[in-house]
Amino acid sequence: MTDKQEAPASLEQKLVGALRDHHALRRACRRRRQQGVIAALAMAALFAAASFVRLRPKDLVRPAIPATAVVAQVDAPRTVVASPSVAAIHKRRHHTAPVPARLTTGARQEEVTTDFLPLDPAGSVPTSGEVVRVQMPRAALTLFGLPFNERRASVPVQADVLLGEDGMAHAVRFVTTTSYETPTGR
Amino acid sequence: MEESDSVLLRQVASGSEEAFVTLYRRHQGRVFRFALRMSGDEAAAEEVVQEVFLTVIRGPVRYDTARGSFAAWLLGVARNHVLKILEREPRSTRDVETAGLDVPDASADVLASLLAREGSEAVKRAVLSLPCAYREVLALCDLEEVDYTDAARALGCSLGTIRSRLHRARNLLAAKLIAAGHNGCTV
Repeated sequence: MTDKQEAPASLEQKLVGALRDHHALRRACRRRRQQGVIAALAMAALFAAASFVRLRPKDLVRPAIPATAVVAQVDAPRTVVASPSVAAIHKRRHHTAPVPARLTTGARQEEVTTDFLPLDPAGSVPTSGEVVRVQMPRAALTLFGLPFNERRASVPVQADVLLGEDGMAHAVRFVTTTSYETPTGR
Repeated sequence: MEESDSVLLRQVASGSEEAFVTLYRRHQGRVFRFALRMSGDEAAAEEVVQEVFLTVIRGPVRYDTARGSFAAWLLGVARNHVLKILEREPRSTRDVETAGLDVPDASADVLASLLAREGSEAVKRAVLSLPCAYREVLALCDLEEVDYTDAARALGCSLGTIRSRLHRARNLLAAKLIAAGHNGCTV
């Protein structure tokens, strides 16, 4: 047995090295964990968005937007008054099928839409892409600064989501249906 | 002003090498000496110091300030590692049969003079030949001058047990030294 009173000095260096390695590893793990959390959040946001808009396959409309179509005016005031060109395009695509004659009451329905409103206020609205018809809670109108009738809060509102070529939702327009009387055909 | 162990521990947990070195230099000697006295082997003592401070590095350290000093906690961790080493590498010289020894009632003064000669090989051998439970309490309380409360925390037993083991350890050590013809009472 020796008279040594302390551990060798080399052990201190070894342990300092171990501390350095340990914290480097921890930092790397933390970075990986943060990336995982971001990915998980992105997935959660995607699922939340999907459940929020409640995609309805029967309402899917996937025509490419004609290059000439003005789908949104970013700087235009957000208004429920549809731009004529968009309304015209929309009428062509979503014209309500005529009700069979024997059931007609003389009423016809027509859709009126808002301009496409960009989801990212700083972003622009793509000029081509796909439009998907969805239903949203009426409260979503307030997110775009649109008037919201609280008495009809439980009634969902129809909207067209504009998907860009990257597959991401870039803009949305709200759809309302107006009824007007037409003479019956018989 | 000297930083407290708790403050240094927090800094170590956030990766401060400077804090670790301060903490290490403050405590490694005591851990090393305790392990050396328990094992009688320098390499084993070095291994114990390494393991103890790796525990601090790996954290989170389960040290509770309310339950004693950091030094006592470190000695408790050191003791666990020493016991593992002793289990792994039993030595024939350790834990020799002591039942046949005529155990005198060694007073603290006698022990003090014996332990003052700890530098002598005979005393070291006698300490090493004590049963583990007595050796550890002697190493902590008499050789490292750890207070009884901290020793009780480090060894995980009551204050009364520490006192009785220490008394028995001193008597055993005195008997061994007398039997070996090494009378510390002549000092």
